[in-house]
Amino acid sequence: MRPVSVQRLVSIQSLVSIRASALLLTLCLGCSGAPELPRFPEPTSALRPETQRGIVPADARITDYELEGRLDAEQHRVEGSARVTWRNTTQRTVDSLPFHLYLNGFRAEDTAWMRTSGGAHRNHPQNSEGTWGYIDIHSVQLEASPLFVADDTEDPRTAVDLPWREDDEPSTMTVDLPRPVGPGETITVHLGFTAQLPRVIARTGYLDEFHAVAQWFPKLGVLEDEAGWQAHTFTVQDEFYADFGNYKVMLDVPERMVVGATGVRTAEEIVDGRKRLTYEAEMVHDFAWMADPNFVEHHGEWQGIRIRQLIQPEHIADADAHLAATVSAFESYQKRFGPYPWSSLTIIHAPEGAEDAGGMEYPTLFTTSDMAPLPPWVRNHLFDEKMSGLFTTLHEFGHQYFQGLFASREHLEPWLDEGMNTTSNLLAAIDRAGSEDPVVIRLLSQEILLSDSLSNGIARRGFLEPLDRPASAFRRIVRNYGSTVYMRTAALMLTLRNVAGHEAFDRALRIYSDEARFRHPRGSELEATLVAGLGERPNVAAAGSAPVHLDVQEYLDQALRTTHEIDFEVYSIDNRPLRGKTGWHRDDNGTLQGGEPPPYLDKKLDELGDAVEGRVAVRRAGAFQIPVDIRVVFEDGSSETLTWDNQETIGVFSWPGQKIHQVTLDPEHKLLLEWDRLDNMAYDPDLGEEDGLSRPLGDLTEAMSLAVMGLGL
Amino acid sequence: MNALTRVWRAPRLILLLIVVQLATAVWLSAAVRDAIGRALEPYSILMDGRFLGLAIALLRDHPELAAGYLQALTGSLVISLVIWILISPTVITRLATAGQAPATLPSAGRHLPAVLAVTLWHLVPRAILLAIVGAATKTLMPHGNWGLAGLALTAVTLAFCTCALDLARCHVVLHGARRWHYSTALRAFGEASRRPRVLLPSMVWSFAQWGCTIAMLVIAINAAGAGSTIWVVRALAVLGILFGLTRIAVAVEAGPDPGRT
Repeated sequence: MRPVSVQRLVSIQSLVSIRASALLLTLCLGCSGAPELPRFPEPTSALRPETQRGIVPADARITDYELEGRLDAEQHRVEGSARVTWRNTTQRTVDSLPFHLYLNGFRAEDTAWMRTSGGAHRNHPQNSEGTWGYIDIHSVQLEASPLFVADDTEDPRTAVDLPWREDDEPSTMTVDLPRPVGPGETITVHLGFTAQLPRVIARTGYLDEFHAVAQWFPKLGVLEDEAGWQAHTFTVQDEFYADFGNYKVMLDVPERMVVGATGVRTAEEIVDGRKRLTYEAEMVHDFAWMADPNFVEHHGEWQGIRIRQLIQPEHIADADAHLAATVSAFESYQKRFGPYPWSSLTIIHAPEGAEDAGGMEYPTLFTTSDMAPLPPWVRNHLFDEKMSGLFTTLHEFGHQYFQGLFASREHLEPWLDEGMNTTSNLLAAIDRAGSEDPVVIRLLSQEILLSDSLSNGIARRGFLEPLDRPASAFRRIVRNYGSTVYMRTAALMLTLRNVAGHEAFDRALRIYSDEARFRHPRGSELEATLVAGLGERPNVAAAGSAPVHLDVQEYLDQALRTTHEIDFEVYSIDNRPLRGKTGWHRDDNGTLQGGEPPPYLDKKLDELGDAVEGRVAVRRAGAFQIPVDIRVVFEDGSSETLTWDNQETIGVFSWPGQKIHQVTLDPEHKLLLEWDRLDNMAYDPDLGEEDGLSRPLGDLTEAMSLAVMGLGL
Repeated sequence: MNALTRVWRAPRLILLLIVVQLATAVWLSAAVRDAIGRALEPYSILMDGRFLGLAIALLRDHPELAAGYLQALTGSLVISLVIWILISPTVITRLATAGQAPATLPSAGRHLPAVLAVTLWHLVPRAILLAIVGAATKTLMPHGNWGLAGLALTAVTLAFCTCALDLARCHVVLHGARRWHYSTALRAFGEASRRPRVLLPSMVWSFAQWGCTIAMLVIAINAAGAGSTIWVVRALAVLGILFGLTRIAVAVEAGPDPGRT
């Protein structure tokens, strides 16, 4: 046995590859004076110091795991064992234990996962080579304890074999207990298993020597007071739900492997060409690990939290950008959603060909994706984008809170997990950019902003079905899961923030976050917190406008539980002579008097001075009811903004003495849920103003035509 | 007579080419402009720095406009290729006889099939060369980290190929080279590499022409939504035509291949 440095940058195996040769050259150059990559020691505790970690409620610790796994890198198989200790913190009594066997979702064509996915995930189909993955349970035993001694004659030290059976859908199994476990009682079971990894699909599996070992052990369901055991069948949109607990994990891998895992490494030794690693993680609800001899380590740190990236050699140049994005995310999330409780964060970059392992979150570990391969001079001067690898890093980081820390029931309320995480990502992007509408894509001096991107994300597909539904209710063939759950949730939350006020919304979200830590929050809790934080009916009128109130709960009901869309249009603009009092009127004696002609006869509107009246009709074309601001610019250049309460389908407004030049609905672009905004602005039709887009787009077409024609010469 | 003089002595040809190109572009873009106007009516859009986002929203909501846009660009390319190939023998003949009576022009049309053939043959070595350059770039700068060096290498290769094509066409039209045989196209590559005094000016004029194209795009994209610069773009297009004609005139000026036995 010999200890090895935990800071090894490259394994011996990698030296034979072409990629690694390039890296070796880089390292050799590094020997001649280039600065070494910064290194940070492994934290000694899985949690941050008490003064930094925030609230970690002791009663949230429910299921502890001691796991062992031996990786056969040739067969892509893990031989493992699990010791699972569960405390019944509910008022229920149970006589069985349900376990998730997630890998069995990839076991055959007729599993629920395969049926609902069509055998593909994120457009990555099953590969004919190494298609199937499974987890095979060898044994289940109840650890001896006085609790389960049937009578005085039975030896309390003897482990008991337990009957178990896979359920009809093999992604779960049920273990029968010899006697019920009541409130407050604790039991421990041992399981022996073999986990066969599939070729990379849906966040797990292998590709060559890269191994993404996730959902690899039998995982106990969650017992809830109101609903009993929660252990859902694994389908394509469902992710994972489990109780918090402490993990101690011993991994045995080929020596050449560089490993990243949940938690912190507490021991390492080499035995006969194998590396034995011990990891500990506290107050987490999952444990994943990845191994690849080609990984290069890149370290960073934020407030004592070690940020360790395991990145492919060819992408090492991008590591600093991912680190900067992570540090920026830490700063935003810590402020908005409370302290990050753990002492480490590991970021994995899957190799080319294993992209389906990228973009996935596990406690204190996530996989990201590569940045678009654009050289710096292109990014600086021609084209830049924030949507590829860096956004993946931000998104998966956000899941450290909206999954890792809160652990809501994603399979039942996906909007509360993926949707709220996307909301938090956009808030972090706003914080980083220092702008409420940051740039997402830049082409020369032209920009696509966050609001544009959100609008494109929700257009049409985002409103096909109500949002507040279980993940399995979204059918893959409709292809609306992302636009609905991710984008529409973010759009509805940011719309509420814009309408009800940034400070009040941010404060309410922080209150929710503080209460949700380690508590498996429900959507109704977030809704109640928002209603309490924003007020049941806050005044949302523009400054100077008569009070208009937003019913926050009604807003949330429409946004979450209907398919109503926000859509307004300028229906009509009309400037006309002001109707006065000329004509025949009866005097006090009942006699008709007057009869003079109206002053506007034979006069043009321009000649009437103040004797005009501007009118506008605006229409609510969508079923969603929400107050909207209307900005009117008058002929003299002055303007006025009022807020329409929008209780009717059409609203008509008039301004005696003013001629209307231009009308804009939602001028500050508060309503991010409204994706069709091309009918939100109109000029007085008599002015003959241009539409604003046909000329520049026509000019651009002509320029591109000329450019293309020049190529023929 | 140098190449520039040859171009300046064919003013009607220059004018014709400029008019055809500008008119085609205006015609194609007018259709797009009108269609957008009809789609938006009666609404307007305030740019406030959001041109790209609004343009995408418009094309998203009106896919027929996106199709029209693509059609305009494809049409430009097709029309341009057809026009330039059709009039290529005429251009070469006119530049060769610059300052003389243009009586030979009608007869230039008979070279059209041969020019077409030599152009097609030329595409084969051009594709191979570009593939080699692409592979070399990828090997030297793996994993998509292509840079200025890779771009420059590709541009030099393209300019070299363009010079070879100009020479091949001139040999067919002016010097009685084998009309259908692939060797005419192939030998032009060798000739271009052997005659730096032809190659270098040709490449310079190619770069100038492409510089105009890039400038047109940069100006048009940057200015979109912020004010019309279409006349600047048109001026650059005219300049590009002049540079392109001068490049062809370099090949005309080069005369027969001195290395040919």
